[in-house]
Amino acid sequence: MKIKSFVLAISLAALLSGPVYAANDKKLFIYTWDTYKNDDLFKKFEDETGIDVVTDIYSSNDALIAKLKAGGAYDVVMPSGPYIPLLASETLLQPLPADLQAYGEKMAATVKNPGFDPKNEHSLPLFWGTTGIAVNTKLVKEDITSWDQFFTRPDGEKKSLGVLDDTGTVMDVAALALGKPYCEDSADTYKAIQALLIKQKPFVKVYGATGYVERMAANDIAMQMAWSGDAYLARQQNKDIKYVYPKEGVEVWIDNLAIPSTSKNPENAKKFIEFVLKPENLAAYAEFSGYVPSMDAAKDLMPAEIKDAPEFNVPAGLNAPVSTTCAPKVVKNQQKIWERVLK
Amino acid sequence: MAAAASPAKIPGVATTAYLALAFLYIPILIVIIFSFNANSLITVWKGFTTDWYLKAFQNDDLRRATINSLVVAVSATVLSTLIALMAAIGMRGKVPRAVGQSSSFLMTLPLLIPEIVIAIATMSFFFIIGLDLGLGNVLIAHTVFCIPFAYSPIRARIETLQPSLFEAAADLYATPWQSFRRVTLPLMLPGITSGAMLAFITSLDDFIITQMVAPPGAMTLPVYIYSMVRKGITPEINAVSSILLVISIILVVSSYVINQRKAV
Amino acid sequence: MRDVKNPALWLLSPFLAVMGVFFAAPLLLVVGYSFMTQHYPGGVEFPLTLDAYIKIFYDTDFDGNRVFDASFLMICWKSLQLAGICTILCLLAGFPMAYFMATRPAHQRNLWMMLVTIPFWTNLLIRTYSWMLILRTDGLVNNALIDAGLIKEPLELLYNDFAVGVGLLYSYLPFMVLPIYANLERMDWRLIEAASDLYATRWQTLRKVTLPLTMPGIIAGCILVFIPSIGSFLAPQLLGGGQQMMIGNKIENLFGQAGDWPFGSAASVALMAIVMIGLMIMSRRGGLKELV
Repeated sequence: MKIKSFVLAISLAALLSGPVYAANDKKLFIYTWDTYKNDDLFKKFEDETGIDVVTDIYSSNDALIAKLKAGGAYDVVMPSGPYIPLLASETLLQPLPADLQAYGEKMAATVKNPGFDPKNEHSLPLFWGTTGIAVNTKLVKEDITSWDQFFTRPDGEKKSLGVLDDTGTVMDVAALALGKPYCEDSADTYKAIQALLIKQKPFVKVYGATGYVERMAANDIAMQMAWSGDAYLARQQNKDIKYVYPKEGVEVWIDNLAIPSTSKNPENAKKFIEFVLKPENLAAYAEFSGYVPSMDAAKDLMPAEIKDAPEFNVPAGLNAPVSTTCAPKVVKNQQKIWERVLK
Repeated sequence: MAAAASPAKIPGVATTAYLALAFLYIPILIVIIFSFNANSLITVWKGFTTDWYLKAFQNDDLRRATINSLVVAVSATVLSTLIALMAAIGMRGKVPRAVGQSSSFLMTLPLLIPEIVIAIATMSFFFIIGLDLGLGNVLIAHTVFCIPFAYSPIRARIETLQPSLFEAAADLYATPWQSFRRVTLPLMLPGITSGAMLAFITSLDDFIITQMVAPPGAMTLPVYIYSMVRKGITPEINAVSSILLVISIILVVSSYVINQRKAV
Repeated sequence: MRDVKNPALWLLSPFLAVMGVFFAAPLLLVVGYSFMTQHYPGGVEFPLTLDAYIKIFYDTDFDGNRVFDASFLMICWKSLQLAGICTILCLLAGFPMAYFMATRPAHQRNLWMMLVTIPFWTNLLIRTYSWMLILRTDGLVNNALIDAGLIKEPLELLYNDFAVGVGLLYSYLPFMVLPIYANLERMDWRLIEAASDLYATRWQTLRKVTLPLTMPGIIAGCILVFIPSIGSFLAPQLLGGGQQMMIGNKIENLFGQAGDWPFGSAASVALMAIVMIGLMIMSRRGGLKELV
């Protein structure tokens, strides 16, 4: 009994003396992806402004939505493009002040006035990237130039492909491979996409994004549907990895900075956004995450071997539509396809 | 009481046990060994270094998450084991049928329901009643789902206690409290310890419920790790896990040593 | 006996209070959600409807026709199968282990208990990742076997059912071992000696004496393994290559990407119902009242 009371006392003491995160002038709560948690950069911000940064990470945009809906009082979040209209319609994001919106003018052409938030009312682009194929040249001898080679494999081949499990991404890529537009609400398109994915399944080793950078680097996967920044990170670890832009096109997606409506420190959030969007900071941030910074001024500051890396440069003239929000009915059908594939 | 006597010895049991033990420990050894890997991706071995331990200490959020995990796990274990113990003893006594049956039902319910459902339900509920105790939210949620895990071994154990023991104690003029402390509790100890262990493990590993329920800054280690979706596990995480492991071992060994000294 | 306020009820009250407020109430909320209308991307709204429950059995196909759709039920069935296999594996490995622990000399037993539980104080995700290191093509097992000259080509040990089995066994073993151990430790071992005195073989003793006496522990262990493992998705996802959707993934998906809380709630209610019916059937056959 004595031990129990001893332990009980200690834990209660620890709890009571533990960190209490009340609204505080000098605090900033960031909620972001693990690959965007740049401790060095955030430390620089802390040193410059005296604001204490607390970072929590989420594993998916859906987790972000759920958290915000439940009243999670974060100050800065970094949602992907298609989710901005969703978050805005749920009044989960604050409108950005005019001087922040002005940054929209400085954005690179690819991310300027994006379809999901043309006037930057709720978001500012932070990074953009593409979804292509990361090929392990040691395991794959043929020259990969088309999505067709990714979706159609010769009979009898062993499982060696990696596919992401983000339904939106997979559907966009499948649409590209079939020459269709994103989010097309047509029974024929759905059936075609479903057939394509089911045909591919026997050759897929892993469906998933968890730890896939490491999987690529460890030679587990021959061809992986990959986000460009992650392919870049994998290539740093394993020189045999090559990022390929298939001729049918690649999906372009944009991750953005936004301020939730539940934020308790919107002033600090504004300071953080202004800090991050300074060219030299954005350049450092992009180098850290492996993605392309939203402003050309930042990209110019990056070292040549990164700036000119294949993952950072989409071939001119390639079909590269920006991903967008699909109507709820389309989303439902996409989920249905996905469920049938994963039977 | 138990003797390693021949009738009780079943062939193959010892081998299975040792094999199982090896099975249990090999991944742990890997975690520890690879925490010294001089390569940021965990797989390929590139050389020995203690840098990751340094980085782990300097990573404020990681450190905070680890401490949160420990604090919540210890507190939830204590609370849930206590509650479960009282419930187990209470169920043995004279309880109205309705109360008894609803208690049994309530006790198995957390096990029946997928964690994601408990997560969403608790999160919505906390939001509606406006509960915002920071880490306290997480503690409450953990205590609730740890109770059935603590309860099960305690119950399995209490079944084996004969009422005659208590009668004997009462005959010898022990008050209910004394008979509890001197008779019941020592006999229950393996059940209580098993229950506490299960509760501890369950709390330490939980991420679905914690992810939904934790307010800003109250993240725990499993949530942190699970959210490292794209990068995967870095040696930094391995370092933290190894440290956590050592701390847990120290905690338990000291309580074990204290227990031995009491030598009931 | 004194007839003051019943002490048993006092002992039960913290449990009932905590569970009643922080568990039963949220659950009722979810049951309530299952009768409401979907609000994409998350949340619920009025009006009340049975749509969510209908979705369990029926679905609209791409052409807009309503068809009977067994996919949800199939997912449930698959998950139940997996949970069953996991339980059997845990029982096969766990019972000998618990038996071994219980037959150690008294002063060693606590040490063994600690030895068995220490691995589980490392995070499950990390241990699962370690299994990937061990089982993958370029992993420890394959490298060791190739170096020793036992095989030429690496074995496919990862991203398949074998790996999932290993992962599940690994996650749930202590939940089987500890209840059985707690039960066994209390067993009167003289009964075993008595059985052997009466010329019973070891196996007969095991079957007719030990196992019946250990039933409460075994049942408790099986429940603690079977039910949570129905909803498990870590092992299938990380070690199995995410090839199959389990009920755990499905419900998480419904509350997440699909943004269909009512269906997610209805699916959970359905799952609970299935498990409860199963438990009731088992208790008819006896042996379950031992748990609670």
